[in-house]
Amino acid sequence: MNDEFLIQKYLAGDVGAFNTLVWRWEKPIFNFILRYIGDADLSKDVMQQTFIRSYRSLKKLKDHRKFSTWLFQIALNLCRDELKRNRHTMLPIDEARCESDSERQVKTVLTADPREHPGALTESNDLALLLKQALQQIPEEQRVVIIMKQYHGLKFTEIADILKEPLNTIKSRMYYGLTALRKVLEQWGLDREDLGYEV
Amino acid sequence: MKCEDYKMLMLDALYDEIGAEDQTGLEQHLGSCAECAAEFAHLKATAGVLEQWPDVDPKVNLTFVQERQSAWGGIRGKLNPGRIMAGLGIACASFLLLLSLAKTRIQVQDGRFSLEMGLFGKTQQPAANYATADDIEALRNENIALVSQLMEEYSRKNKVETVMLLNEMNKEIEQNRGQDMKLVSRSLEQLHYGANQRQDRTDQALGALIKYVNYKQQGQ
Repeated sequence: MNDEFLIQKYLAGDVGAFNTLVWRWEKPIFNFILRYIGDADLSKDVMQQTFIRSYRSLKKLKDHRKFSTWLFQIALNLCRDELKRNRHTMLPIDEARCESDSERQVKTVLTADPREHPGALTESNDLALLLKQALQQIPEEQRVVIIMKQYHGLKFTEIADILKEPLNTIKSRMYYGLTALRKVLEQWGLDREDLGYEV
Repeated sequence: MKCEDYKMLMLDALYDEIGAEDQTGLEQHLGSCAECAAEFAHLKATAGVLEQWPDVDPKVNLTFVQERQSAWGGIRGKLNPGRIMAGLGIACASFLLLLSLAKTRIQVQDGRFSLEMGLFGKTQQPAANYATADDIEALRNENIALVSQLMEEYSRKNKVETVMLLNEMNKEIEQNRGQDMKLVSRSLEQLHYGANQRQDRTDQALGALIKYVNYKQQGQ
């Protein structure tokens, strides 16, 4: 059953169909929010709000084929609202040069005792933590494009549709976002041996 | 194309959104421009690093259930300003229509029909007493004459219908009797024919028997 069929069933009064949509999309939406705002507990709250809002306003969605992009749009709006309330979670890229919590955390991972952590960043949790911190260092408008493209496989045109920006602007943000991310990782002293990739 | 233009194509290539023609152009450019080739390698590497952050399970059980709604809640949910205004409009129009119907006056006077309708009606005027006793008597006699004529016509019509009905019944009986007689006659003919045949067969059998007896007697 595709999303469109489930939406029609839900609009006809079948709440179970909406639950199927939730089970199908909760993981991608949660991970999108987590990568965007970086806090797991807060991400769960925002995810729940996303689905509650979509539950209440799904009948307003005209093109049912755009359900997933619409869902990402709701999640993004809620994330932005959340960030406005908790501005401290987002740092401008220039501040990353200071001795921030993020940098201290990265250094802790990198300077860990090799006997306890052979191969430095072999633990996927460590790498996830570093990437989470690194993404928080780049501008929000670039971060959201990178997350949507890199982790959710949305096409550039779909991202442009969600963010309501021209296609070239989206590609430009993607390009400069990846470049900025590389610089952050380089500032933290991560090289190919740490990551297993040529950075 | 300038190097700047190829940056967007690099992204398309990185995420498999590039067309064949652009792909060829990009490869040719990367083969001749070391700076862009290095940039493309960096982009690929950074994207590769990002892939190392796997999805995690939210571990939540988010389930929606059907909202229980009171009768008033159900009605209220269907109401919106447009519907409320439309409803009020219909109610007002219905009220005015009922009011105008309640004030309707139909009058037949001197063989003329008149209809009066209005929201607030007209002041009721006392009806003038034009009919005299002679007029009433004449009307009564006229009515009696009409009724008598009607009854006569009715009686005459009944008589004609009864005679016609009797004639039809008589005709039908005659037809049935003729058909019955034909059937009886045909049955009698069949009986007669059957009896003759049986008699012939008996005669033949007796003749044969007599011949046989004579033959036996001659043999002895």
